[in-house]
Order: sequence, then C-alpha cells, then structure tokens
Amino acid sequence: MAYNIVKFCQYYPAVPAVQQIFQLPRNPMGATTAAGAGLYGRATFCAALSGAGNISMEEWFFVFHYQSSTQISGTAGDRFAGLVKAIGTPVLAACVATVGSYYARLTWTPSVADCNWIIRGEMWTESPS
Amino acid sequence: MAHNLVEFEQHYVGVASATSQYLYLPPTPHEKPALVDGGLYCRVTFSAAVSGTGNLGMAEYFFAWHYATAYLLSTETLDRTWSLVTEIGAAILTSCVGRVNAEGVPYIRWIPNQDLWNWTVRGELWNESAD
Repeated sequence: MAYNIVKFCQYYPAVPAVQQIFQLPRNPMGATTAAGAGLYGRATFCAALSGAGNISMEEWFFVFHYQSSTQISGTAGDRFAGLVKAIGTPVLAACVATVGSYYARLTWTPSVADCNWIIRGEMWTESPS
Repeated sequence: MAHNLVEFEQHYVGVASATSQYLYLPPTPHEKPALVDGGLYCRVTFSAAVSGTGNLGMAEYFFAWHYATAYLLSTETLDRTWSLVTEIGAAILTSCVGRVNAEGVPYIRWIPNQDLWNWTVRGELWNESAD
C-alpha cells in the first residue's frame, strides 16, 4: 500500500463575491486507487481585506468517493465538505464539495468582495502500490 | 506571488501553572515582504503531559493577524483574531491569546492550567508575498 499526500496552496487577490471553483488534482501523486476508495483532505481558507477587522480563517474537511481507479464519483451522496472552525470576520458564504469531469472541486463563494485569499491544505488517498 | 510557510516547534519542561508564557513569531515567514492587504495565519498545537495516569492533553488554536506594513503587523485590536479549534484529554490551557507588541511583532501568550507538566508547542505560520 502507498500513502499519497499532496499539499496545495493558491493565492487569489481581490476576489469578487461570486462563486469560485477550486479544482483539486484527480489523483494525488498520480496514485492509481480503486473504486470505493476515498479522497480526503483539509483546506484552510484565509482572507484579508484592507481596513480594520477584515481578517478571517476557516478550515474545512472534504471527502470524495472514487467510482473507478481514476474517476471521482458524480453521485451526490459521494462527496461532503464540512466546516471545522471559523475565526474572525465571516467572509465565506459557502463551500461545497462538487465534481466536474471526474475532478474533485471545492466550490466556494465569498460573501465579501475584494478580499485577498489564500487556500492552502492537503489531500490524500490510498493506493495499492 | 510566493507562499511562505514556516514550521516551528518548542519544548518546555516543568512549566508552572498560572504563569504567562510568550511565544514570539516571525512577522514575515522567510523574511519576505508581505502583502499589506494580506494576513499572517497560524495553526498551533499545544500538547502537554506529566507522569501519572490520565495526565495528558492536546489543544489546537488558529490565529490570524493583519499586516500594517510589508514587515510588521497591525497593532489594532480588530486586526487580529484567534480561537480554540478543539481540545482533547485534560484541560491544559487556562488562556491562549494572539497579540502584537508595540513594534508590530506577533506573539502568543499562553497560560498553563497544569503545574509542572512538560509541553510541546508546534505549529505552522504562513503568508503571501509579492515576489
């Protein structure tokens, strides 16, 4: 068995308050997993905006199900995202686990425009070798 | 743009309860100038133990600070926030807060709830820089 973990970080300056899509690698480390396996991770959304008090941090867990060795399931019950903790000024209206073209995605929507965002985290899955 | 991350770990032996401890952090990870409209973010895990059954615990905290300049944090009260994420085992902390000194350097003040336990404090600190 192999343990495959990928760390990610993206910076998004001055994001409008409209839906954004953060697409994750389909297979961490190029891992070939199996139907029924899970893709797991945590993502920390960090946001700042000029002006006093505009600082925020939220951590989310996410899980996705593989429907084959390389494809994420598109079934609604096969994906979840949940808030772990939020601190500071709330600036994230929603974060939802979604799937597009078999890629795992986090679809997120700022509630405040023009924040400068960092999304960093890690994701992992198991593969037979 | 560059993502700057530093990891840190500190060990403390036999810390007295109800005494303020101060963990100073570098205002700019890797000493690169920060984005002024950006933040400095931190996750810290406190763990403590002493001999005897059941004498151990862990607590994780989040911290966020706002930059005032490319190298220093804002001293405005509203420009920093922190919170306990979760804790397990014994209650090991009486207090844990994020602060900034008069020079704009961030620090964490923590007060042990347990007397003479041994501590490991580890975490990560990150921001975004223009280069």
